[in-house]
Amino acid sequence: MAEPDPSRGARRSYAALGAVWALLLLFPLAAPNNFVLNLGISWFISLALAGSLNLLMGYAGQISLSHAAFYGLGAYASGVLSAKFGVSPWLGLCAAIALTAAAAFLIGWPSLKLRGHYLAMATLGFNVIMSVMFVELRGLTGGPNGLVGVPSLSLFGWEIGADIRFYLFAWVVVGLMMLLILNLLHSRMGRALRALSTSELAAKANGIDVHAVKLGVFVLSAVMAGIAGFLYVHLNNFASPENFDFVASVMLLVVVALGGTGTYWGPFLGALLHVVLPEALRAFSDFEILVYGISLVLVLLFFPAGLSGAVARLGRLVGRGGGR
Amino acid sequence: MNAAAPGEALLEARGLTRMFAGLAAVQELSFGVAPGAIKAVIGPNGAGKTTLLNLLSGFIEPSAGEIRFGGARIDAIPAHARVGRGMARTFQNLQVFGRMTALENVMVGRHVRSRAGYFAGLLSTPASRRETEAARAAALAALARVGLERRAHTEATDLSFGELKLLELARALASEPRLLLLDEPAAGLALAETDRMAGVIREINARGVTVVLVEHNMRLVMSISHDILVLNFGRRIAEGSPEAVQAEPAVIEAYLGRDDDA
Ligand SMILES: Nc1ncnc2c1ncn2[C@@H]1O[C@H](COP(=O)(O)OP(=O)(O)OP(=O)(O)O)[C@@H](O)[C@H]1O
Ligand SMILES: [Mg+2]
Repeated sequence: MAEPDPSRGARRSYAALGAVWALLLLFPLAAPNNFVLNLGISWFISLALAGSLNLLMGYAGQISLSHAAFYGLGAYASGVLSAKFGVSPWLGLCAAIALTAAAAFLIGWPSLKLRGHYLAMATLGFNVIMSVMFVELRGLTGGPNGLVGVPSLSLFGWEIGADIRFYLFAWVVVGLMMLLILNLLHSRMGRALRALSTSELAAKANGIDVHAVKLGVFVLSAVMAGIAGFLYVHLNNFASPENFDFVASVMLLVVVALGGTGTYWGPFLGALLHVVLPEALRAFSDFEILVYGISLVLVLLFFPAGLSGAVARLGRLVGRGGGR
Repeated sequence: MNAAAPGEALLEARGLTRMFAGLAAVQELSFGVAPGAIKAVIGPNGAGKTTLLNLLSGFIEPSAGEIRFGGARIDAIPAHARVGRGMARTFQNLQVFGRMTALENVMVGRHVRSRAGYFAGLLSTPASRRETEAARAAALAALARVGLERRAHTEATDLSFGELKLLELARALASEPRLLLLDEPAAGLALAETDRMAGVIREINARGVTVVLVEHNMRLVMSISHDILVLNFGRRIAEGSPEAVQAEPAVIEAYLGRDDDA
């Protein structure tokens, strides 16, 4: 099947993103109550997580098992600074970005030098260490009971409470994030990271500094997870270690795989599952990870390209009448 | 970059050696490649031809010896940085970017001729967008040079083997190399495709690109190369014009009993 001109393809993606984002403005009108509205906010945060992990895993082909740890690092950085030290959350955001970037750099630099699955192993270790820190640094983090008293955000004196206001705020922040990702994918670096995921040899032979490009995308995806953490902690005024543990990281991998790795729209669908499944499976909460595992196997068996691949296939079937 | 003085080799190897577990795959090899030449490197399987290309392009490090390109030592320069200096290569076993179209594959070849980094890409700065447009135009031109322009928007995985060989060549060309290192560009090609490949290589060379050609297909080698280096067990056994090399007893002996696909 001949792909259309990629520049036209890019324009179509931008148009689709704009349309989806405009539609999302209608969601609060349709949401019957604050609970449903909050699911919408959770979806934004999940999308930021899945979208950034997809950039690393789906496009650049690098497996990280600590995406939740970066999410937590962002949450705790801004949460602790604002709750315990009275620092402005906006400075907290800067701290969250700086800390996640620095941590990702330190982990990524050595482990990405080596060929093989060193990044997966290093990030696995990092997530375990971070989980221990979130629990053990009681004085700062509140330990296993969680960090309480995190202030809400306020902008020009307006408080961004956990309702339509936060919905709009997340709409802007995550919308920008997804726009930046789309920009990147159509740029020189986006092509470089897609290239190296299929052949590092050929990437090198085309002048790509494979280590630097991988390190860059790893830091970028970690920072985006950190920003998602910042959103989370100031939305809930609370953070608790189990949201950021190794299981949460694995779950995010599953969410990206379910949505469809290396497709721009995959994370949109994956994030939907991430938000809806736990609600639907509340009765089986102990088996949540099991259900995730089984659904992953099923989806990958029947739709190897994930849900977005299945939707695309459906779209082609439906579009066959009027299309080219 | 310091240009080679007239008469000086564009590429020069001196005492180049590469050991693998105590065995020399390339041994004490010294030779030069004149600017503008097509220099073939031939030899039986396992002679060390690919190892030599890997050394020249920086994919493996020499155990001893030195490499000069355009007069400057390059053996300490990493592979990716050699591309920016004007050295591009293809692979014996295809290395294309599967989930990208032919055009996108070749646009990756423009990497060293553009500079937008992560920030410019994320923000889609005007400079970054201009670069992408320029890369697209240059990539289309490179595809046209190998006759693949009509396949530009086809996924690489949907191209035929012969087309993929040409695609790799177009991608290497897109970086505007002064020196092109080709590892068996005609391996696995049918007769007509081989002739097409020969034409393309000759064309590229006529536009001033120096070529090092590793190839088993003797018909191709003898028809387009100016100069031939013959390796056996990592050592040079002959070097010179196609006619001279063919008459060399050591070469005949090395190939004796071998039923080559020539
Ligand atoms: N990475 C490696 N590790 C160990 N030995 C190697 C390695 N690469 C090559 N060799 C050995 O070095 C020798 C030269 O191999 P090379 O691939 O350079 O040969 P070639 O001339 O390209 O052969 P062909 O015509 O089959 O492509 C062979 O004996 C091979 O087994
Ligand atoms: Mg070889």
